[in-house]
Amino acid sequence: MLKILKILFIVIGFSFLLNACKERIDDLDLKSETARMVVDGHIGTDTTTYFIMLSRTSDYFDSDMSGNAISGAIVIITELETGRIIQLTEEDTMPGRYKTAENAYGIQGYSYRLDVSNVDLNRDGNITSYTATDLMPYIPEVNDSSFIKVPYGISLMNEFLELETKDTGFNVCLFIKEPPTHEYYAFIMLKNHQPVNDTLTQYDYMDDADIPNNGNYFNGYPLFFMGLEDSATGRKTFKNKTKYNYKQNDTLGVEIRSISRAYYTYTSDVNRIYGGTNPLFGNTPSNVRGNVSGGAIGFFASYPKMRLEAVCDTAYTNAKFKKERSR
Amino acid sequence: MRKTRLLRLFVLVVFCYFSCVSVAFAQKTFGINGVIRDKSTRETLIGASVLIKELKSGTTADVNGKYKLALPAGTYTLQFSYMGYQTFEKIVDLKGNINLNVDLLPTGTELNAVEIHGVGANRAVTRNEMGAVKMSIETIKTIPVLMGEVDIIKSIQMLPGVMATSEGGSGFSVRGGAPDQNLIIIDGATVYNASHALGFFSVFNNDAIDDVTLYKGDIPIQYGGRLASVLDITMKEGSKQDYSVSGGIGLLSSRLEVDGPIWKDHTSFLVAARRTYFDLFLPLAKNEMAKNVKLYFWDINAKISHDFNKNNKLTLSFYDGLDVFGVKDPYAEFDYGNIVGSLAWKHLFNDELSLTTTAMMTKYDYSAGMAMGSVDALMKAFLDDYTLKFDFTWIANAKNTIRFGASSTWHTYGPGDAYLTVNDTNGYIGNETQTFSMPDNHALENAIYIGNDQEITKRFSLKYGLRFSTFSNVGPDSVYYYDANWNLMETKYYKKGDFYHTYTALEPRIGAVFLLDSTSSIKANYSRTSQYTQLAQSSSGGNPMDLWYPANPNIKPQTADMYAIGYFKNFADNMFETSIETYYKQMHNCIDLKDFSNTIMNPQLYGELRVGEGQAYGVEFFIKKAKGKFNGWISYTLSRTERKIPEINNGKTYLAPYDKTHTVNIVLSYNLNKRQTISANWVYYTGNAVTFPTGRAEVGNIILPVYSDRNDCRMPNYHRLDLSYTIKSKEVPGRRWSYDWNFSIYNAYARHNPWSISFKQDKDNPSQTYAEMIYLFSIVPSVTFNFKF
Repeated sequence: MLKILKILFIVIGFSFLLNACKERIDDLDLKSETARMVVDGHIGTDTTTYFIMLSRTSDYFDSDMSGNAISGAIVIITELETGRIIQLTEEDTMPGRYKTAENAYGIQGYSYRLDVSNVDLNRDGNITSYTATDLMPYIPEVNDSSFIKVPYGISLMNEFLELETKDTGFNVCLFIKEPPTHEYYAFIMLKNHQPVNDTLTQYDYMDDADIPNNGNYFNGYPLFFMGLEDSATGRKTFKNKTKYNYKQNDTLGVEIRSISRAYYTYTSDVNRIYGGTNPLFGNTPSNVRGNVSGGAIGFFASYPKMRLEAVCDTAYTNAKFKKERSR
Repeated sequence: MRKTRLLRLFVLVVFCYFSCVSVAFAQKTFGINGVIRDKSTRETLIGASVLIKELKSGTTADVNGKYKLALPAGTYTLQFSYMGYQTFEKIVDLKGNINLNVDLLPTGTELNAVEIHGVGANRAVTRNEMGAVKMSIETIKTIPVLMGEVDIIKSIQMLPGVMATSEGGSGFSVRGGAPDQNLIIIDGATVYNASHALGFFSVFNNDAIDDVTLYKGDIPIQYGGRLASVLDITMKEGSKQDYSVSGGIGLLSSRLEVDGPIWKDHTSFLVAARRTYFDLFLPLAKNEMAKNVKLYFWDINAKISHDFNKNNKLTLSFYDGLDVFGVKDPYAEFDYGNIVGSLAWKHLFNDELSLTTTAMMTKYDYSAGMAMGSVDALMKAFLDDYTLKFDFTWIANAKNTIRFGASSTWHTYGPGDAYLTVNDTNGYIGNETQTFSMPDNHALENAIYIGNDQEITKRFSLKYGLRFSTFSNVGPDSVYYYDANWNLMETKYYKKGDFYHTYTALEPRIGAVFLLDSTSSIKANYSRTSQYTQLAQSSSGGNPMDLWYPANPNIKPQTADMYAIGYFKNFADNMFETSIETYYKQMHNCIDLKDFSNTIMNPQLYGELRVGEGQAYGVEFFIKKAKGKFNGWISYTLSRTERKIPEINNGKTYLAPYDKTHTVNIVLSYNLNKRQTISANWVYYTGNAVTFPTGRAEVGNIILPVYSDRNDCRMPNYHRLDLSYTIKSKEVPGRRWSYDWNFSIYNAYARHNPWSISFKQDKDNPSQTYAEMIYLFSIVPSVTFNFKF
């Protein structure tokens, strides 16, 4: 909660200043450095195919990334507790993308090590190798008491803060037993079983130490507020970010990932960099803290996930939801 | 280690040696003393100069307008002068102690527009002081400014070796020092946050200020606690004769100053206040958001001084100021401000020995509050100092002036308390009151010092001294201890009154001046300074939520050794003053923040800090035309400031954020006639050392910047031209009131100097990245009306 407060104060107090005058600079000379290895991928608990992307960095303003894939590398994942090895092979159609077999899976509580070798990073015959390890955390069990409800009305957070608003949409309320240990979560919104966003910076993250419910039952905790796209009238709650609008009878879902502390640090670093810097509050920027050795950029993550879904129905209102809960 | 010890020993020996010698060979001398005053108002003229023409040396009047000379018997021509006054000469035949009070006649209202020293034409050459610059408020007033707000700190930033840390900001870096390494004092009391409006204006109201002295290296022995510089600001004293009112109406703020006698000839008062009124116009705005904004600052300065008799004087100085930012509905507000007060009693035991006893307090605090529906929140932090200080000055003889004294400061650091009350009737997240409190820290800082200004021969003078300081952390406190990798190891609790950790430091300082002839000299100095309290600055620009924190078992005090040498030469009957100074500074236990640090409301602040070594060196060129209708100065500084901290930048040396290779300041002023003055200044400096992306990586469907080494890139170079035109009211004999209009243009050629540069992905074509800058000011014209009656 403190974190939320900090952000709020900063935004209210200073936003007017920062919008002073903006201008695109086209002639900024940036230094160019030798390429670095980039690793991006994860393993989860579902039995399926997992991907690891290998590439090299390019100059910052270089928009053509096509030649950056790293091909011909040897990639394996090892389950450290058992010694089980998962082999990855490069896809023919997608250079630099390595995949596991269709029956790959990881187990909660086990550590996974990614080994990448036979990499010719600078195309000079100098072969390098990289390694990264992540411990897969536990996730709350999916059972009868884990679900979401999506009552329709104004944002419950706005109602709670007594803010005047006419915007109505679907409140995503979470019911789940959260473990008393220290967890880190990532939330991804789903629409008809598909993720609404596909980038790291658009997901939502939570350090459960920041919320009062740590270790308690989340009894309808209002997680998100999503919009309505009314097919009959064409009215949309979110005029610009229309992907956050759901239609009547759409399936609204949340994918919850339980991520390691190191991966949470990595995602918050990425978000801090994306949050931008300014002379009042920006620290000196620095490279994100990943878990790959050898000066590589990126992260090899291992996390379990769960999906909770509900059907959008404008007839199920905030009032009905509250009445139901008060029983 | 051994080397330092030897050095200390050496300085001690030298110190004792010269003190003994000087006393042993002291001649029979007589004293001349008196008060220098304005003939019409009878106000004392602080800093007025007395020159003994035969000896080409002299003195200046102290804060009470008093001067003292001790000379061997003989006949001397004394020349009394003060900026804006007619010079007065008097021949004295010295056979015994004499008292000589002098009243100087104003030269009319014509002012030398740019006048750093109004005193002793060749003082810059002869005085045993390096890197010390005194600016009169009149000089400061003529420099073109942002939004018509005359600003002391902005003027200081125009001097060689002094650099602004960000556009329009009141933070400054002196010879590679961090902004928190400047001791800023007003009538002796420390001001911790000298900025209003997030740094765009300084807290010093020029109506209440008499003069400003910046010591940028050769820090006088009576000051301590900061590494880089001392900015000593003296508040104006009210007239003991007549009442006067002056003020100004600007675009941004209005000011009013009233002063006069409470008890004629004995007691005077001065009150000066100002307030911005930007917010008063906000309700007229069409934009709903703007109507909802609260945004203003005010400050007030007051001073009472009382002369009991010629040997006792008491002054009480006070400053209070507040900045407010916020929105009315839903309520959210952020406030910050300083309260500073000092009570000084100056006592003369006899003509040779005086004591100033000062009791001071300073408080800086901020608070942020919010009330939104069912949530109430408050967050606050503060810093308090209480100081008692004794400063003795003993004019032992004509050739030795010995200063000694002691000071003691009780610091209380309140790093932060936060309260959050949630009244959740729906039971979604539960009713609760969260209190998040970081315990206050206490520390006692003590110092004793002794120093001597000694004339060895007519051409060679030395100034040397030693300062010994201690800093003790005092319970109650809980201290987090970290291992070598900065992982939290344990928390230790100390009970109330427990002096659980003490640092000590010996600070030798020595300076020498050697006169080559009457117009040129060579000066050299060495100084060691230590600093026990510093600012956790989250960004180079600084913000009011940055916290001051003490040295403790985790963080050693910072120390600096500075060596400087300079050549000073005046030309054309002191019409032109020139100097070249070069310095080398070593900084030990230099502090920087680790990557992705968090300094705001973080109970484990010390875990975010990393410590190493730093060094700074540079050359400063200065040329000033001090006299005539056309006057001003040009300064150029070539410098470098580096840090080396094992856990930062992979242990490689990197540039400090305020490293600037080239800095040029040109300040020019031309008096068209008695009433009209035009002024211009031009500023140029190398862009700040920053960290920019050098590459990019594709991860998680985003383009992630890959950064350079820390501060390995440069912002575009900064330059700006400001212009101003001042016209004064006609002088009418017998008319008591006067006014002037000031028109100024900040950034006359509308250069878009980037305040910050961020890197973004194009919305339409995400693979395309571009740089975007925020600039704060394009061309900013302003007008100010000032009056006095």
